[in-house]
Amino acid sequence: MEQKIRAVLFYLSVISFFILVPIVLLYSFGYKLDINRLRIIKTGLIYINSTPEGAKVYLNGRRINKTTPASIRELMPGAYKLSLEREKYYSWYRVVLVESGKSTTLDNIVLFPIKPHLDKINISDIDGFYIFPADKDYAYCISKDRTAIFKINLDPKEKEASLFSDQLQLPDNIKNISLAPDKKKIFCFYANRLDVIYLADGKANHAQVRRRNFFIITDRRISDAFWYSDSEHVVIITDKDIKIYELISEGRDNLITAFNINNKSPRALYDITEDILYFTQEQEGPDGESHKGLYCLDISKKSLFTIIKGIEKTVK
Amino acid sequence: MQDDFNLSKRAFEIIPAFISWSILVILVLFALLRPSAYAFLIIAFDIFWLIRIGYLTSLLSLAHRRLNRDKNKEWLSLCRKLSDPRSQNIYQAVIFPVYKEGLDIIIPSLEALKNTNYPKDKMIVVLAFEERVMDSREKAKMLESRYRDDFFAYLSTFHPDGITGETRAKGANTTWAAKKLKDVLDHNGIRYEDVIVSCFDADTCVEREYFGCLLYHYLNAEKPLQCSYQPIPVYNNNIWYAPSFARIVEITASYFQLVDSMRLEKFVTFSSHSMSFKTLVDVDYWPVDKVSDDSLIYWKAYLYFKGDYRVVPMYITVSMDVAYGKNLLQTFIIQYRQKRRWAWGVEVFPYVMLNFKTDKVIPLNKKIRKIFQILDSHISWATFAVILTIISPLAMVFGNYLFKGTVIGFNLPRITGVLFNLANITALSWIALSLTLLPPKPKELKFRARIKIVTQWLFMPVIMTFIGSTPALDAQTRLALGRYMGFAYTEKKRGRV
Repeated sequence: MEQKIRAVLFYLSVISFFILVPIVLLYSFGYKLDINRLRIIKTGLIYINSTPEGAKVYLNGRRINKTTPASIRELMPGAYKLSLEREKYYSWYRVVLVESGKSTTLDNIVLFPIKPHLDKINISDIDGFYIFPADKDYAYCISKDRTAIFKINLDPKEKEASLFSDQLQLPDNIKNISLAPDKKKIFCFYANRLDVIYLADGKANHAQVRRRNFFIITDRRISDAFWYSDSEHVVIITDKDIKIYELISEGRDNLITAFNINNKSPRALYDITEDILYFTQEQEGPDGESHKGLYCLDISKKSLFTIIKGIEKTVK
Repeated sequence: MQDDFNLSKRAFEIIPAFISWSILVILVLFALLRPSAYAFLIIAFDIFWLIRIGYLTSLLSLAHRRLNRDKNKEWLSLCRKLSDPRSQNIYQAVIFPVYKEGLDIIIPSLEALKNTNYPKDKMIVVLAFEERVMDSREKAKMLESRYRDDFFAYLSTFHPDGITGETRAKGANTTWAAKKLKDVLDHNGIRYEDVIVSCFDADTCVEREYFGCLLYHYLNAEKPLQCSYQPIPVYNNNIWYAPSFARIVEITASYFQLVDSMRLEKFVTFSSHSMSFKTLVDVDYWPVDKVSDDSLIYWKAYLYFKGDYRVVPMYITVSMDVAYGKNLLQTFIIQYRQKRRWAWGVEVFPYVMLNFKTDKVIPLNKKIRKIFQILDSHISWATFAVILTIISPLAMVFGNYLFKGTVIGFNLPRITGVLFNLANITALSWIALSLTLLPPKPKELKFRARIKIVTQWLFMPVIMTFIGSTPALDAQTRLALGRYMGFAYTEKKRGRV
């Protein structure tokens, strides 16, 4: 009896295999039976996802009983008008080309809200703010009367704000402000002056910290300035030269000219991870014309060490 | 002629590994070079696997039903009811090959023999020791003093090391013991056809009705001398104490034995088995130069009787030990080696092929069917888990790269995932069945041991990946490369890790 059951099971299994395999394979490869014409046709598919998910999907204006993320299968090759709709969000629309045997994936659609949610981070008056890569969770704000710098947490739920420095006299024409990698000081520059302002956290004696503030005057207008990676040097670019100022020997003759340049409005970018300065420089070419080129100045400690080694080798 | 024989032998040794590796390599190559063909094959394979696992699970349920049906039968009484004059004359001889197993392993096996309801004056016990093992004589002496008077005859044999033509394997020891048994039978004037010999692993504990069941099947067999009698091996001796990982592997092994018991055409002897002593003598005992003596004895008899030989399943369990070590890594290594030894059963392929080549009596279609069955079981063993757990998921991992922007690329991971999960659902029935095969929980173990024995099945996919196919692939590759395996002793252990 059991051997009979076994035989039935065996033959059922064989039959199931030969029925299932072609059906699943045809479906997997996108083939569809066109009953009207009695032929097998190769279709394509669209996979669509949106942020946020759950948007209603319309194909050629007809609602498809799916929400994102959704795959629309067995589509005949051709162009389809695809749209997404979600309550309280702007609709999204695109014409999508479907090819036979191909899948079209649209998975980075962003639906923007009609009424975006606005969070108030800070309730006090500010004149301006800066967000520095070195301290991305906070905004460094300048008070409306430009006498104080304080920082506030960017998370609206955190009402954290702390005063860093007060009794300042920050001018209107500040060109840029930059936070040192050690987060203990900032500099701001305008015209031919660069102010280094030490930041005091909540518990520190503000007056004591404030006394450490100082400024540097250069003989030419400062076009850009950057912190060196050790937070103890500032790289200053004027339209005539590149200077390096050393903070630890403050008050002495500690402003050195690293490189003379010839550019009225040099563009510069500083890679603080490698301590390499990229800048534009005008030079006369073989044709006698002036050409503006891109240069890089490696002032990293590693490269300086290599130079010294090189000099020592030459001397030997 | 000898050269031709050796060449054929080497060719037949290479064939299983060649097929297994070809299947795997071709699938990977297709995945890289012809993704559509790969997708085609993977989907077909996954459907084949799903249907096959469903079919095997149905057979498992049928076999399990039989096991339950026969569980409480009073076999010896049934034998008496047959009024067959042979039933009074049959001697049960049991050979226990012992290697390094301690008394803690052997004594429970002998106690189980003592507790059977078969007349002890019709039982002969042979403890087959290896002479090269230091404490064999001491163990033998101790056991003899304890069991000498409990059976018709009790023998301790010591298989000498280094006999020409032998390999250090269990078969050589049991053959030596069987020859000593023959001397005893000759001395007592017992006819070989009146003796059923059982070859048990040292840790095998039989049920009370085992020999009654064996006798019943022997008496009812159409050609009793042309049959081997195979009980269902379960690994219950220490199952509650073994790590989950080892438990699942052994339960699965029992399952495959149960499934095979329903497929009589491919059912061969495995581990502990019984047969007529006359047949054993006629076929010249177990092979002495091979590791897989348990399955090869079937093939020897099959060839001797020109294909008119079969294995009769007995739905009665014999309980053995789950092999495990002191920690998970050791357990893994022990399990791996044990499964590799089992998979070394692939050595029957060249043996059968060479003998089929010279045989002129067995019909060709019967030969082809047998060859297919050997290859099918060994090749599926070596490939199915690799395909399911490594090659098939390639579609999910590298789908975007392999099938960029195609419908099949989008569908394949989803479809293979669904098929794989459907196959896994059948594991639920395996869990239910495994619970019914368990011995009672030892009192010293807490309730959480019961929970663990259910939740252990969650490890199944991991186990399948690491120990599903690799031991078989390893064994086949060794055979193909001519790196012949010796018998690797599996240490037996009882109690907590």
